[in-house]
Amino acid sequence: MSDLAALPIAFELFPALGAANLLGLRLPWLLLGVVVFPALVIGAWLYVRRAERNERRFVANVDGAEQP
Amino acid sequence: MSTVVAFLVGVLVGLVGLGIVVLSRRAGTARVRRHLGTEAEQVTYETLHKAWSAAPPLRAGLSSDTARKAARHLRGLLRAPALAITDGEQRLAWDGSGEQHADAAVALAATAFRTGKVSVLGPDRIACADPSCTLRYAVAAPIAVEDEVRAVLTVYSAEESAGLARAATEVARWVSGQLELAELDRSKARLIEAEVRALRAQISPHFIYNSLTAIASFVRTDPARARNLLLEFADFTRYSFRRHGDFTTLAEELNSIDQYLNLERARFGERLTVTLQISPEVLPVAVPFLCLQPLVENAVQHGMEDRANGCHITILAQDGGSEALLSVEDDGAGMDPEQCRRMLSGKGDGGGMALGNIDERLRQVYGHEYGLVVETALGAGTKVKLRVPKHRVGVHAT
Amino acid sequence: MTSTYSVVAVAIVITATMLIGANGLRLSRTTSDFYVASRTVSPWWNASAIGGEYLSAASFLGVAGLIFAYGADMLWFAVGYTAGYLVLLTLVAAPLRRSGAYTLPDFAEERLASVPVRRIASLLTVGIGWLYLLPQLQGAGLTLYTVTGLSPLVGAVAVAVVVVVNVMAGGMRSITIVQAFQFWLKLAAITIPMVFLLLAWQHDGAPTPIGPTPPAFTERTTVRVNSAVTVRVHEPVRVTVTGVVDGDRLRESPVRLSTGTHRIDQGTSVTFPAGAVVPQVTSIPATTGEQWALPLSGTSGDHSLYVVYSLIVATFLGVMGLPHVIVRFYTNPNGWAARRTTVVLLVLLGVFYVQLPLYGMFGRLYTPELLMTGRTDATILLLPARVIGGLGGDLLSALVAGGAFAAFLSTASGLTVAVAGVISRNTLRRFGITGFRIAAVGAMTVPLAMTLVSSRLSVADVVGLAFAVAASSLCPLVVLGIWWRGLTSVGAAAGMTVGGGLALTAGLLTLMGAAQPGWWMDLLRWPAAWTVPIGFAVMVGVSLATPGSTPPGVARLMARLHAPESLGLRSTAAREEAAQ
Repeated sequence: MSDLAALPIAFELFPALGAANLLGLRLPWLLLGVVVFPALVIGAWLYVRRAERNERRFVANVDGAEQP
Repeated sequence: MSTVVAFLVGVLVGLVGLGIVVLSRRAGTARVRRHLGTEAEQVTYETLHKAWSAAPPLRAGLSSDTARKAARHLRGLLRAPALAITDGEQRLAWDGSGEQHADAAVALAATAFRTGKVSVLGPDRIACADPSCTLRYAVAAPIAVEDEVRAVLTVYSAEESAGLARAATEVARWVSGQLELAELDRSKARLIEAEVRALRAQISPHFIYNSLTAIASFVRTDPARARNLLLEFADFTRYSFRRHGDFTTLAEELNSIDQYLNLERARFGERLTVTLQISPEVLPVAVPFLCLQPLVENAVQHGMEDRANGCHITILAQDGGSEALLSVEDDGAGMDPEQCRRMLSGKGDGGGMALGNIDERLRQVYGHEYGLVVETALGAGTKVKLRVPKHRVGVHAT
Repeated sequence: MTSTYSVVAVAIVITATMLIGANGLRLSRTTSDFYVASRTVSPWWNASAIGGEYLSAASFLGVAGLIFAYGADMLWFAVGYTAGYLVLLTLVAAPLRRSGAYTLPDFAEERLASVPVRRIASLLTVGIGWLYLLPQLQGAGLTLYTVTGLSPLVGAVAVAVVVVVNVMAGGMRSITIVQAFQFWLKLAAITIPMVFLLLAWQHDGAPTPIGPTPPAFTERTTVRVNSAVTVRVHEPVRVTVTGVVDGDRLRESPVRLSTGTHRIDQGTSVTFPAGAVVPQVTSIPATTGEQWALPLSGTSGDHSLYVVYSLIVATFLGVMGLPHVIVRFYTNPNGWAARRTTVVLLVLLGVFYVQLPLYGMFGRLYTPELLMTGRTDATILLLPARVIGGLGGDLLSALVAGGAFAAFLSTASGLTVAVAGVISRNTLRRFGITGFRIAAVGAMTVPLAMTLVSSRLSVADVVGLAFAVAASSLCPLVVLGIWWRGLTSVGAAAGMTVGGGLALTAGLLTLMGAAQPGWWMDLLRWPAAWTVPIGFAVMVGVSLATPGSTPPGVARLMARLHAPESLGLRSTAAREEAAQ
């Protein structure tokens, strides 16, 4: 998410990035119009996996402690 | 420009409309105030209003939090510069100017706390170095619940005044009254809890006998089914005796109803049919424990008691925006509406206890407009409807 | 361009909506099987339903129109509308579900045990709902006008009436299946035409709008202006005019438009020769294709960096404050399901939004005349017929029009139900269902009144305002309420009032045209970058200053918000479900 938010500053500081071409498309359009959406999904999925793993561990700890 | 004006008018209309509706209570108050005649009447009104404002926090009992909230209103009531509420050991609340006196409040109140009588304190006890502080006198009035002093109300003032002493005494007595009401509230809640426990224990002996008999009849002919039914029976009783708090999700309540109906169907066979219309959106709603299952039991009893050709039960759960709309309907014998009314107001006999208990619990938790609604007539079946808000502060399914 | 197919499509959508609303009962499962009846809503269904309600006029028409007009910076709208859910997922989704709250005012009351805070949150919720309803009505008006030529007011009133009648007739039931279906319909209405557009574009030689020249008419085109505009002409051009230009009433007369601004009155038709550069409405800075493609190139104003960041803040943080979105999270049985629903939702929204920049590009190539009338929002509606032509183009246009109308109806219904619920819960409670119905009428009346008095409000601006208000007031409430034990009722009330009030004032000033050009105007038009930090700061500061008003039992409540479901705090059934 912070990478995403840093993009405008990157474009401001390095105008060449704004005009760069990649895969036949302008870089900003490629990033913000295409790449960002799968990136968000992957980020979300990783977060959920980590959160659920943490919670499962927490519960295992607590439940394990409850049963002597 | 006219567009801008028109737009502004539209927004203003909307805001004003909303404001009127939302603040209507306060507007009502202002209107009353203008039409009140004499000054005396106005003062009386304001006094009563302040007293009324102080009541709700106290109804929850006496703690530093409730004392703080009440102290503000009480100080306004007495028009005193400062006011303190202390119990025997610590200061529960201080309101008003002169914070430097706050720590001494407990000591000042000690006599009143010990003797249970009003004590008046003069400047010799209430001295302070700050020249701008106007507190010179104090009246300490005890707050007693059932003859036991629980706290002391200390009112400070700049001058000695018999009127203030009398007023402080009356206010303390009034606070005592509120705390006694709070105790009554707690007793009432405990009573209902006891009833629920009785309800839980009231898995009727008939039901146990009939279910086990029905299960036994399957042991040889269909042992798999017999085993399943035994497990359902075990789950059902475990749910009923569960202790985890007063609320459960609708999904679990339906689960319990499912187990109950399976057991009854083992006994009645095809004569008992059930239709469900459940909106999945209301399954997570927190409902009072055993708010639906006893209704289904009643429905089965009514439905099967004098009809040889079986009965049909319909259970509805629908999404109503911010509420869940539930109902249990049977096509059985129906009830006399008069008898039903008696049951709802608690005067019925054992069979009607569930109805009255559920109605009472719903009203207690959610408010008076959330009681049961029963549609019935002799020979026309019965439909019991109830509404449960999706969210209420403090209501959590566990 | 009246297209019968499109009118039929719109009519079908309206009729279907009313029928489903009336017969909604049949869609809840009727069965004798408890196991079947008790299946909770799965994340895929719920995510589809949320997507169905969330994709509104702004998403369907507005974003593509903005990208078409202003270029690369507007890509952030599509990104923000989606990324807001990632923020919601990480900060809010599971704890909010665990709090048991149905709406945000519910959460405020639960967390802070204060009725005044609840009231403020309710007022803000209603306000945001109204601000979000307004563009739906406008979008409907624009669609009907584009499709049939009827005055935009007709479309707005039509949607308003249909929604209110539906809701009053018992459409309180937020039937997941119906809204889920709406999402897939909208997705189809966007994707199917896109496939054909891409093929046609490839067939055309895949021209690119990125180049040194501004957009030009590809062939001789007649543009009919339906509300007065001031346009800027860059090169002198000879046109034929019927109507009033610069005060001169003309009839089929050739006119030479010189470089500079010209005023064209309502009802005027101007015919341009092929290859002529399109004059642009003065509110859209004229740009060459190259400038259009560059980020921060000044096409959205002089302070593009500020504008972009303000946009990011508003959209990323405003999603969690939208009333019709939050209530759908309640349908999840527990926190884990809430999280998973959000992930699925990100997938669904991504598939939708990824296509909008392409529409913006096609608009620039094939419907450049919209730059002259200023109604760039209509580009998606016009593209299929324009590019593909013939029966296929008409049918695809009909599909798009139907999808657009479905967008307005479903979002407007969701908002009306949510807003009416909040109004009736707070003020008309004793009237029960009647109170809700009255509230539904009230919920729709205000936005409709606002539409009727002013048709020049930009859809994107109003939606942006809704997001800014939500981000400045409700976002701090929810985020701090979930993650900070020290939040007090006084602090919350202060933060919401200040943050929301500032954003609302800034927005209203902009909408009323009271802002003067300059950096001042940009600050008012995109206020989120400063109102959101102020909202947070006030909430934190006042809370720290009033430690006495923390409600009791906070520790227990916070534990419940963050404790995982499988803990002994839950029952066996829930434990089994969570373990799946």
